[in-house]
Amino acid sequence: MYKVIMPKLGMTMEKGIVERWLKKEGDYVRKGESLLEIMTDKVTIEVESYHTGYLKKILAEEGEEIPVTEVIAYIGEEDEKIPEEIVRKKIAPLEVSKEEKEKVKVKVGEKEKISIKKIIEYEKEREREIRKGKEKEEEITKVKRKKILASPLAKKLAKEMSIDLSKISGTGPKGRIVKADILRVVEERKLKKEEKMDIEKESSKELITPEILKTIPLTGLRKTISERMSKSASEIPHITLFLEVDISNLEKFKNKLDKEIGEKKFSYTDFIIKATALSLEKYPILNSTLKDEKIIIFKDINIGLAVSIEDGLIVPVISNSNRLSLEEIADRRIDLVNLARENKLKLKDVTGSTFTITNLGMYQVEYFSPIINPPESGILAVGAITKKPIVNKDAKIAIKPIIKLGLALDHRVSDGVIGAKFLQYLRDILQAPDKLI
Amino acid sequence: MRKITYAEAIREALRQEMKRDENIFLIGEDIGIYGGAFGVTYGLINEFGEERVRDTPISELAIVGTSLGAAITGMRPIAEIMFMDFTTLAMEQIVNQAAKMKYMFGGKAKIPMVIRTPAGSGTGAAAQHSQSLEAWFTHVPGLKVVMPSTPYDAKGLLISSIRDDNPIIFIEHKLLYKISGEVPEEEYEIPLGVADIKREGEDLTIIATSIMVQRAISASKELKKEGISVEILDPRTLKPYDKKTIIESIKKTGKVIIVHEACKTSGFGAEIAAMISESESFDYLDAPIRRLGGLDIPIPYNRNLEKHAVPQIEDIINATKELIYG
Repeated sequence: MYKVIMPKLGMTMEKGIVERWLKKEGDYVRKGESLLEIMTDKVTIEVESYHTGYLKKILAEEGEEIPVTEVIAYIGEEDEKIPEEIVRKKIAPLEVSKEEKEKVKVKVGEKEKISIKKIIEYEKEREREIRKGKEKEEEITKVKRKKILASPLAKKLAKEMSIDLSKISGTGPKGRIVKADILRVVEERKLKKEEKMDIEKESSKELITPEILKTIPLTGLRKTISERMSKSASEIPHITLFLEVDISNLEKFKNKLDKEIGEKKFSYTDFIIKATALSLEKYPILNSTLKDEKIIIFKDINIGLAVSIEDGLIVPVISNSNRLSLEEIADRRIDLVNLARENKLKLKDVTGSTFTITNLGMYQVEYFSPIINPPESGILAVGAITKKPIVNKDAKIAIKPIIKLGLALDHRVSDGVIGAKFLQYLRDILQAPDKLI
Repeated sequence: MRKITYAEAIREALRQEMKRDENIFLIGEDIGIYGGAFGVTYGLINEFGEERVRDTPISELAIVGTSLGAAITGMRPIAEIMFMDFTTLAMEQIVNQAAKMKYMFGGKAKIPMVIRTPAGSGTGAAAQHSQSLEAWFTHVPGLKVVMPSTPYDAKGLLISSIRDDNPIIFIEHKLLYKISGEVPEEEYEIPLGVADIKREGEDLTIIATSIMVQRAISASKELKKEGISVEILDPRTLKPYDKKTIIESIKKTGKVIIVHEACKTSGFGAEIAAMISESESFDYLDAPIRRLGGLDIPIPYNRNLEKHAVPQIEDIINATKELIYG
């Protein structure tokens, strides 16, 4: 019998939701075949089976959120009996059945002789595990029982009025929640509501309440974005620096490359990705994460690229951007953006980024201050390229193509000067694009 | 309205019914000249003669057996068993014959008989003359069990019992004979199987039978001084009993005490408590169901001990407060 566990699919993944089982109990499954879909805080992903056999038992139902490495199913032979402890989720009688003993024999028996000691050890270990499970179970029931010490009437009223019994204290015998307790809560609720209504009434004399067009529940990707962004905005002290870069040289460089290949393959984004990666090589403190009072600086420079999709925003990753050629970066970018738009990104495509680039240039936005994509420590905002008059070295006015860059960094990890130096370095590369090859 | 005692109310019902229907006769030990052990039938022999008020030898088996024979051949006998304890001697006739006959004869036999018998302690009559055995009879299909707690109920229920074509165990109480209450002079029936709310209340329902109804009323007066409003419900008939009224009362108050004099273990309160748990009123319970009953001992002869063996007013007050205050 093989265990199927909730896989840990990313550095920060702690739990996953079983979105959908692609096989049902009793189905034959081949190694490498898709077994189920799991939703992490980033994407939905198909998980492949590591074993060939029959899906004997599913422990995690669809919709359940399970910590990583927890057993979610078992795969075994067609005629293999499901051990009792699996059927009852690891809770089983203490006796070890004869078949179980036989199994140990067979297992160990390949080395001809089997030692009695091993069997005893095996049984003892099992007993211990089962006991642990039982105790846990008992504890859970105890807690549950304690929770619901309420009279039938109180329970009925609580249900009718959607009151969570675990959140109120009882004044009946032995702390039992009785009718009076429910009525008290209802009364308190009413008072609060009245107060609120009073305030609203008061203010509604002067204010006009806008009419609602529709209400959208916060779910799925939108919810994830919402949670991650509030976490970032509230926890990370951002500083944002802006710099304008003359990209005359880059423009020429790009045109030259386009001509060489004979198609307009490259986007300015590709050059910026590469230049950013090289700048991070120079200032690795921005390629880091703050975790448990420690700044962890990464060796790998994995650039995440914010891509807008129908229902939100997703950040596919170009790993080791500093070591890829411009062409490789372009290929990968095109690939990822297409996958993202088609909703076909796999978990490996969206995890492990160490720094993010977000670009609103195509919408003619010139400046914006981005929010860091946690657990990263920096993000680069790329604005529109516009032709602008600038004063050149010879004190003459010239019209130049200018790109506006905004760098947000985690002020707990680094300071404005580092950011400024990083931007300067980035500018230098973009102005001398030969360095990108 | 005119007030008479519980014993007088029963006597009046007997007299009026005997006048109405000449097939009715009384049979029992010392019910003639002596007027019965508690004087209930006193004077009736003068009015109706020895034919219709028949004294018997000391054999309860013979009293019930004779009554049963008379009933199935067209008479309407009313037997008196001097103490409920002595019904044990007539059990074969009551349980195996009277209760079964209508069924076993395919409905062809009518058994219009009433067995009147006083139950209960409180007279210093000791273990063999003080029992409350109503639960036994409620367990036998074919019998109806009636247990009045007031003079008014005693008259109305007895008239209904006499007019009913089934064997009826009519359980009186020795201590109730002397209490008085308003009773109409004319004849009236109280339907069997209908409970009565003796006092309306909001905070708790006391379901009481027989003498315990009177004690619950006394207790309620005390409790009222503390602002506790109890509802007192008397089933009046234990078989069949009025579930609906019980359920409705509990839906109103959310708390219930069942009190009877009979031993708590397997007493009729157990039936009521179980019915409540099974019914829709379960969801209205705001406290555990509480039963008060006699101790599991033979009733002691010693008067102080005798008192302590069965629920008293004080016990009802205390139990109520426990449920109200927690």
